[in-house]
Amino acid sequence: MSEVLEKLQNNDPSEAPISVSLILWVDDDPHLAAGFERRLRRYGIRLIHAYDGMQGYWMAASQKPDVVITDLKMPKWPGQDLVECLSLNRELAGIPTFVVSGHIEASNRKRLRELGVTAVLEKPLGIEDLLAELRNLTERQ
Amino acid sequence: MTAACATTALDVETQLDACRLEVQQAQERETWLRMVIDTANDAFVSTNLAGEILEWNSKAEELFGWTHDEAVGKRLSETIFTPDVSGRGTGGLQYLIKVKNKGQRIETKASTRDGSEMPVEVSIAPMRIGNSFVLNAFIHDITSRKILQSKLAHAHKMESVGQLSAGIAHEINTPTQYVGDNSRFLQESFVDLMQVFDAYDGLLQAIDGGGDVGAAASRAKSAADEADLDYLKSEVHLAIEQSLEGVERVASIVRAMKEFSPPGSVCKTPTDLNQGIRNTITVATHEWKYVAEVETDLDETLPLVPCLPGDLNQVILNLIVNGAQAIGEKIGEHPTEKGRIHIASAHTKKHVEIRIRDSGNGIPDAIVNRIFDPFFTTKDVGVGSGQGLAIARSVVVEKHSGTLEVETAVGEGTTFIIQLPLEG
Repeated sequence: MSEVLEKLQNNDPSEAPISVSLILWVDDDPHLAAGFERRLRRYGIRLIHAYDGMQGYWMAASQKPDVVITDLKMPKWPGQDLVECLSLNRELAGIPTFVVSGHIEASNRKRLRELGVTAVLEKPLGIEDLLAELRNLTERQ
Repeated sequence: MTAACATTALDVETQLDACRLEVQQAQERETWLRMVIDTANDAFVSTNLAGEILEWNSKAEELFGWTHDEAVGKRLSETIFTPDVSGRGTGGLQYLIKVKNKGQRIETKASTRDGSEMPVEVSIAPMRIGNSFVLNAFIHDITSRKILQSKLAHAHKMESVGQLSAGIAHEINTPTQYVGDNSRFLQESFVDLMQVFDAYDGLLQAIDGGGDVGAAASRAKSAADEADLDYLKSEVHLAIEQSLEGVERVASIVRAMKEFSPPGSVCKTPTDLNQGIRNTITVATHEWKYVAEVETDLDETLPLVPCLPGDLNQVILNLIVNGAQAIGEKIGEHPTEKGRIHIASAHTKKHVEIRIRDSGNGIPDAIVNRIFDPFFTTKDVGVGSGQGLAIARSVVVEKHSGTLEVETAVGEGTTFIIQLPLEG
């Protein structure tokens, strides 16, 4: 038993601090956000979901998350529209945004950076990579 | 010899000269006509109404292998239009001309002397001679055209497979992500639970061996608190359920992809078209899901249809992708509502019918007659090559003897109606 535990516990992540406690995850697949929510809970991070860009915008306005993470291709507003709308709203423009999507072309990546997106990440996304971005954010703040 | 006699002899001579000239001119005209027919780039075949060959030019000799002398007097059904090739009995040109409009070019197959088949285009003109008719036909070898068409169809298929695979990669990516996250969550939860079990094990040992039960109970309680058992009770089964759902999603996409393009389907096989429609909707998910809801109304009593399943799935795919693109154009780049694609199947004793309706912009009157033309497209470069509907028509009409019709209303949408005969 102890060997099994030792092997599994080796996956423990770094202990560097993360200041983020509430993430708004915008993706049209609810299971995707649920999977991340289960894993992030261990790091004291709560996750709320929106299923399209328009719902994401209203939830950002009403819940004021520490970070918004959005997919790009979604029904109703796509992710890029959400990012643009957030950047144009004085109240919400300061919220760091990450884009997590299946395939992001170089030109689109550049455009997203110009719009002020903090991190552009591709699915499938390892939790360690996401945590590293959240730690970078904490360090910058 | 009197003057009168001399005049008469001169007249006869003159008339004879005129006759000789006429005969010579007639011979020259016939030679010229013969040369026109013999130097024609197409085979020229002339028959009576019984299908007996009366004329057979050099190109016919070259294409089909019988010489002029061998062919003349034979019936068409004994030479190029054998019943097993044309599938049309022994009527030959008379049958062909009856089934199609006069003057129209008819695509069919012809036999050659060595027993091989050749795709040909036949243009027939009836000619009245007295009380009888002769049928004249120019027959054009369209082998190279057919090869080109087949290459284009293959290129189109490859293009759409490329497009589909990008979409399928995306559709598989998402469940892969959350199945992975859930599995790691279960792994972490297992570690937590093992620690709780260890603490409870210590408590049991304390009870059995007379150790410090209070301290062991306190360790068990703090291990349970740390593991957040209530949360695990509510989440572990959800994580398992969602993972299984994700694995099933991936499996159903892979299954649909395999069935969408069955290998070696060159012969018509009895096929469940409803399943073909469901598979095609699944493999094309990424093409429609951001712009439309897909609804189906499938006739569950639909009989098996003799068809080439891979080709027909390609037709349904082309029509679904077209519908999604039409809706995408209508709702624009910043949509607030999705459109609808409705797919229905139905059957009568002789036919099955598939209707694919979209709520896109419809097709303007000015171009509706051209949409089935090869390379006709209104889409941007890189979006469409103008082959989707041309191939759809070729598959439905030429390969399945069916019909493909379109009903459209500008601003409201378009319906494509495929009808296939139940007897292959």
